[in-house]
Amino acid sequence: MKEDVIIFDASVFSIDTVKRALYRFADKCSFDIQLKDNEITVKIHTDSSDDMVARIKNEVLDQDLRDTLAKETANIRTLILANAFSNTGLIQ
Amino acid sequence: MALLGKKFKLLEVFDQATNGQYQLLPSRFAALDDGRYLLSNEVGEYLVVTRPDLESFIRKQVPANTDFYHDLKSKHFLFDDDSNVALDLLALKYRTKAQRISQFTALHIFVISLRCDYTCQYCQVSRQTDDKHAFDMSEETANKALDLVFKSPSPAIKIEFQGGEPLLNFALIQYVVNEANRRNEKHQKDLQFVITTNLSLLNQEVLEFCQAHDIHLSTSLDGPENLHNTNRPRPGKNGYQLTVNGIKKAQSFLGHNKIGALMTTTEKSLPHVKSIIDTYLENNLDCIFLRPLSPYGFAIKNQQAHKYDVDRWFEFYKEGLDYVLEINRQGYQFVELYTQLIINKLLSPFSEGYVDLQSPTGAAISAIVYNYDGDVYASDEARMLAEMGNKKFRLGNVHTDDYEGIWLSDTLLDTLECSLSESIPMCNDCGFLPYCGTDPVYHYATQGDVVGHKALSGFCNKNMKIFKHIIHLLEDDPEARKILLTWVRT
Amino acid sequence: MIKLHSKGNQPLSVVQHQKPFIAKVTTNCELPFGLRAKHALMMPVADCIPDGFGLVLLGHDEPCQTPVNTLRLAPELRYIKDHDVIKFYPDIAKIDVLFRKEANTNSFLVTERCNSFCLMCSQPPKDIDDHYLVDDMLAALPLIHPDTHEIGITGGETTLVGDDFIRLIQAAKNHLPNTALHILSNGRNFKNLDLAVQVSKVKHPDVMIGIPLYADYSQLHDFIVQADDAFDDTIRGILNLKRCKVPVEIRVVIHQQNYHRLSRLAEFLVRNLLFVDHVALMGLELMGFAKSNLDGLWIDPYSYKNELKEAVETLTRHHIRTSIYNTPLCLIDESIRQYSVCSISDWKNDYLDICEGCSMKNSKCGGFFSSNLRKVSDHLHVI
Repeated sequence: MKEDVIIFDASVFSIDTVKRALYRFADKCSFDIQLKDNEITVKIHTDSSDDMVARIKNEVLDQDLRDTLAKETANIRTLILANAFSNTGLIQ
Repeated sequence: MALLGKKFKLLEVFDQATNGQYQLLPSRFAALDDGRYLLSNEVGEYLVVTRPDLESFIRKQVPANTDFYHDLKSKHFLFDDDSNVALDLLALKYRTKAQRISQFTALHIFVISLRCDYTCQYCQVSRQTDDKHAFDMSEETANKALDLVFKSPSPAIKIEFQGGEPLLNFALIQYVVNEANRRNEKHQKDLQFVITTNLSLLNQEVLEFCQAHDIHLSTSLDGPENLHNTNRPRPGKNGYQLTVNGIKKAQSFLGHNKIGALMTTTEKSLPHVKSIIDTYLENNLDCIFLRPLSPYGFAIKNQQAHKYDVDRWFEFYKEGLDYVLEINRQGYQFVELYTQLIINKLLSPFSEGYVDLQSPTGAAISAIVYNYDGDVYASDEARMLAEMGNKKFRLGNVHTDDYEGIWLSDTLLDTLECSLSESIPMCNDCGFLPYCGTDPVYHYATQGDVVGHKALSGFCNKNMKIFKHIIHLLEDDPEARKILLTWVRT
Repeated sequence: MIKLHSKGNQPLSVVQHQKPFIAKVTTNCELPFGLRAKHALMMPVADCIPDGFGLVLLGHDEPCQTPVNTLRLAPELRYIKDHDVIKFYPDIAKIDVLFRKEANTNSFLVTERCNSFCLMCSQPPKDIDDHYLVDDMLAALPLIHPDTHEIGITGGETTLVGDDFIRLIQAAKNHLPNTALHILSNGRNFKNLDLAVQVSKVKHPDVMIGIPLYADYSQLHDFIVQADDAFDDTIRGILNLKRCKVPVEIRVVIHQQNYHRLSRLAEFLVRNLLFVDHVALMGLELMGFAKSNLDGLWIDPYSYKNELKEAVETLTRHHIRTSIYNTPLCLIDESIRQYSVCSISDWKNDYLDICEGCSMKNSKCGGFFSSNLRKVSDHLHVI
């Protein structure tokens, strides 16, 4: 069992973003997460021989983009869905 | 541009977007390989992009007047002040995709008898007995099931006879076909029948009945003789011969397209994908479905073992698909059905009706199972789970429950609700979501929870690998792409 | 190339018509008297001229006795035959041929006004009062042979004729119920659902509206048609027509400004407008604005061979009926030649010297617009 620590700046990444990224590694690692003094500290326990630190850092970046994308498009998505199930009967 | 006459204005004049600004439309992404991502929108249009391109798209930094900008705009990943018709088109496309849900249930499975002349190791349901009354469906049960069949709003109805071996109760098949046709005179549905059979009992009477009523046959062919007979033991050890003889008879009597075969993959199949495919070619079958290992057998007990199985199965699938592509390159059209399904999901604006790859789950929406005893299950897997002792997905019984009681049962509604990928962690922001499904029965069987943790899910692991592989073929292998595109059907 | 208009006709006797005269042509001298006044008699050879015809057209140069309303036809119009429909202008002795029974297509220009200003327009718009064009068509329709396969309505922008647009479709249905009606429109006015509803209410048994879409995104399409918001209006128009179950054809003229998006446009059509009834991918006709913008529009069809192939494959894979128009067969990839259609109207269709001896000439190959002969591909060859 290996242990590693990654620290994220909480003003750059939200704790939700970090958690969502970590969720994806549930098959390989377990985590302790702490938020203190604007720092998110993630302690990683793993048996994997992969470079989990690098993979997790990349995943947090991806997840951050995903969160931006989801937040930016939430309203328009509702609008499209409302439109889809309201008016006319045209179907391809 | 001096290339145009003076009366004409330049392209820039017609760009009403403000300073190259744009708005994002709903989309998701997933890593494909080291450098590339799949970016997909709500309705399944996709682009393969690099990490820097992905980031510049989401940070709204893609320069207008680049092909990338136009691709993003044309495929409805963004819109700008120059045009807002994208919103109308997206709504229309979304409605087209969602139409499947409003027209449920097209496939109705009748478990005609649990009795079977085979003793397959992976079969959870069959019984070896001569006691007809204990495990055959009765006319009364069939009638009650037909009441429910004709309440489905779907304009096309397929009734599939399953078992056990349904031909052991052929009289009931005849009864159901005649009765369904009689009732359909009033309902005027597009009605089709399929018998799923091992063909042991395929005789002239059955063939003539199938011909008269345009009934399709579906059988099991697991591969070459040795493998088939090992997977599917039958007293007399002649299962393979009976099956291929039956296929030949059906092909010549009913027509080539009236009989198809399915294979079940077991651990013993894994080293033999080429000879399995060759067996299909030898028997004049023009497609194969490289099915995954069933989780309802040996693999179910141990999650890690199951994940390992997925990796091994994927190698089996990849080798098989390579071989199938090679067969096509040699000028013989032969299709791998799971790949075809995914190609269609990637490239067609319609949604595909395959039960396992749908969100919400195809269970009960696309297919429903009437068991021999009248119990109603949301899917064939749900029935198998029940035969293993867990009736979690039993929706009711045709003798005691009516249509509303079954389709609005808490079991079904809960399952449907939990099976919307849009609300499942890891699925909800996955770029493969438009092409994937949720399979609550699988996740319940393997993780004890209908949603399941996708990082631990063999279902997720398997499908991600397949998606990535197929997209890789489409993007990087022009020859494979050409073949795969011929598999698209609208 | 066949001439459809000529002022070179010579009145040989008193012309009694005060107003333009639209009539069906006959060669039958024995036509019952009661029918003669509304017919134009065509006399290809010198013969005794019977009385009572609304107009007599001499297709020869022999001297002869001439009753009233007799003209010697300009040589280029002497092809006129039974069942053709002509319009005669008495003041200037001009004849327009409105309908030719033998033509592969017959189109009626109903207005020259337009709300777009396409870079390659072959019929440059004129902002004039040309309402007489609608009246001509309404007058000609009852005279057209009922076996006619198809007639067309073209512009300008045909919907700009207002209520007459619906009146024309209704008249076509009334007089020619077995004749297909093909209408060209930029589709923009159909963004008002009401117009689409009106078209569908006519219940014409075989109408098709041909609508151009030049790009898969708004900026490029709007530039090509030189009109802001045209892309959105046209798409909404197509959606409205299809909502009303009116058949729609998408017409894509391929040129230097849009050929590089052609395969993306095909993908766009498959994803968004799969329900259209036909897609025509068309070579450029070097007429009108296309001639003045030649440098910005011309591209050798050989250089978009691959784009065209990919587009056709995408469309046909999804079962959209697809045709290639106005492109010589030798410039089209062999695998998609089956989609090529001889679409050029016979009166403006020609071949080049290089085509001599080609097995496809006058059969499967549509050849060239007469107007295109001066600028041709470097890759033409006999096949």
